[in-house]
Amino acid sequence: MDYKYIEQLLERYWDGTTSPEEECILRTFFRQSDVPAELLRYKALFNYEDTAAREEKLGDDFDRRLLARVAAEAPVKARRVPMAVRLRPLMRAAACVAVVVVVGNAAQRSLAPAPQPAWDYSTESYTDTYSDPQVAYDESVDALRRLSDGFRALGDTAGAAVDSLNPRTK
Amino acid sequence: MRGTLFALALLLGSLTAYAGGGDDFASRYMKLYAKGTSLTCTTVSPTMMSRIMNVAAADNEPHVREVLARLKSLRIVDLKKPDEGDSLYMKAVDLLRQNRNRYQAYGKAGSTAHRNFWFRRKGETVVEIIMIDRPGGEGMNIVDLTGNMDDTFIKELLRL
Repeated sequence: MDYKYIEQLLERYWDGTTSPEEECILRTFFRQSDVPAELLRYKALFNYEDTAAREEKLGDDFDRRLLARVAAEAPVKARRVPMAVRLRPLMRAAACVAVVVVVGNAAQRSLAPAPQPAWDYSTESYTDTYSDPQVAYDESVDALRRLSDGFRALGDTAGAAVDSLNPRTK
Repeated sequence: MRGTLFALALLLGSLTAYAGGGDDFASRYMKLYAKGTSLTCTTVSPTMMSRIMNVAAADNEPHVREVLARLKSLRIVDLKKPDEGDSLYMKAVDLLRQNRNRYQAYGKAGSTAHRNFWFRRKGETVVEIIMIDRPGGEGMNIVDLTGNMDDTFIKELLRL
């Protein structure tokens, strides 16, 4: 089939010298289904108006409806948040910290080793010489007086003796 | 496996023994040097010490009561034969000097010509006080106190 006429019309179309009738011929030609392969690339150009017409467009009343809808919405009112509600996250955080501290303290106290008594001699190594507490008392007091006399014989006052034995004053 | 357990038990046992103070000085001294001498040791045990507190309460001696309340035990080592005094006195002082890490001499010199004071401390508590005495340069006796002793104890002791 010879499409020379169509090609001439196209050349004139590109030159901008086609009449409205001739452009209508072109649109009619490209509207048909069996367009030759070498002219197929122009089909979309001349079918544009047909496809554009099919596309959905905003209605004339779109703006009016949209503005009416916006106007109908209730205005946003500022909500008053009480101080207690505002501080609630802070209070929750403080409560968490308090729980951790209390539990930690309790664990530390329960796991800490009991303080060792300073006196660390074996009680099994002592066998009493006396069975009568009165005799043991008399003997002990006598020994303590000897010890006291001994300290005094060194010329020490109570203060000097304490200072000498006390590690804090060494 | 059994050998490892035995070694572990031995280690724990020795650690326990090391951790404790064990014997006081008088007890150790008697074990080392009493054999073949006229040394005698009088002991007031922790149990008896708590019993004699009742006697002290009845005796109405507040200083004595205050002193006894801090004591756990008391030992008095005496010598029957005064001529053994020289060597046994020296042995006692030497034993204390050999254990300088455990016992410290009291005061500047810790002694006069015939009297030595030593003490053992744990932290801020004095747990043992030892007096080795040669009254008049003859014989010898040792007074060995153990307990939880502090400043108040020393002050009260010097008021006896």
